[in-house]
Amino acid sequence: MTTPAVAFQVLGLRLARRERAALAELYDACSGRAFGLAYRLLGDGPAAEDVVHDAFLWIWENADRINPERGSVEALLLTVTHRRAIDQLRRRRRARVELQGGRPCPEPEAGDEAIAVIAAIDDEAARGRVHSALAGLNAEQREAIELAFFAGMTHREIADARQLPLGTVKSRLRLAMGRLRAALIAEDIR
Amino acid sequence: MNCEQVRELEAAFALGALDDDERRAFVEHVRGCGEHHELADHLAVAVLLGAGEAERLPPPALRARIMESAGAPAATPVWRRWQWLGAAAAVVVVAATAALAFAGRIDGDGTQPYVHEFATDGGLSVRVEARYDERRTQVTFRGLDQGGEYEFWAIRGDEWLSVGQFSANPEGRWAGEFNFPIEPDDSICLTERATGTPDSPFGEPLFIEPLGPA
Repeated sequence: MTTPAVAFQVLGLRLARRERAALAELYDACSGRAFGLAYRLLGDGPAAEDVVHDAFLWIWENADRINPERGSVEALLLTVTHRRAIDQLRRRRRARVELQGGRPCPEPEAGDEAIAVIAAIDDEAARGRVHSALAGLNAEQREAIELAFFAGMTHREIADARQLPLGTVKSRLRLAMGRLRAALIAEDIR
Repeated sequence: MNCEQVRELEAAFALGALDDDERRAFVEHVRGCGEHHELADHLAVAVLLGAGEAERLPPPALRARIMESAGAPAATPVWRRWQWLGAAAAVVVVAATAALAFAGRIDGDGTQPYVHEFATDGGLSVRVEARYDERRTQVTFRGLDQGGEYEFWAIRGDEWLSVGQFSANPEGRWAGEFNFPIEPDDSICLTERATGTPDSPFGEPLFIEPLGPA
């Protein structure tokens, strides 16, 4: 029986061979998840649609650079979607700063880092474990994760918003991610 | 950025919490350094955080928009740019002009056909025997859905010409002959009608395969 992980690996190989049907299959399998994530960050349907469109296009245009053995194409799609949504959020913030007389910042280069390193977990149970572990974090750590991952704030922005030293925010993020990672690894070893 | 600084920022990177300059410096370091094995775990956690969000149905037009954007100009079906009622009418006209016929075996008559056999990753096996000068092409498909309905196309430049429609037999096989002037520079394509939607009634191509010289 083909597992979802293997199926996504095969899909990655087919994308690398420029099969448009594989892109359609990827869309059918993952668009709901990608759109849900983009919508959660942006809270705006048309903007989320643009982000998901760009993420799928990015996958398609970089398909020959994807190494399916290093990570599933679904994981890559979600990573790129998340990065694109964060970039969109930050552009909005910059636009507000600009309107208030600030200087515009250069556009980020979204997505490149997803090629550098990407991990794959195609496992519903693992997904549940990470979310249980998230719920088990203390309030400060959970808030740090929420502000960074779902509100798209940089650690400096979190420090400013919460009037905390930058080092404290870095520590909270590191400890929180360490706990989530530990939950994941412990379950994998079992 | 050195290894120690990168390690300190791995969690923030995975969560997307670095600013642009930090992010670029981080990526630059990691690309040239094999020492950051825990980063993969952090990224896996971030993927799972994102994947745990509730799925949400995107607008129906998004799929077609993505496929349209992903299509190379030469492979973009003309019918995607048509209004669908117009497209349906045009397909009927093309099919009628093509005088589609399923005539069984081609009789050997001394001319050399162009024969091309290939298999797709989706499990389809295809054999095409084209007699360009006689404007007839014999095609055999194996690995189709049992009783599935399909449409066979010739792609000429940026035009998609409907060669004909057929239904697979209970063994997922179909063989027959099309009396249609396929040309050596054409590509052939198969779509599955059952998977189409009102916006795209012929579904996505199961394959697009170039033909070859006469």
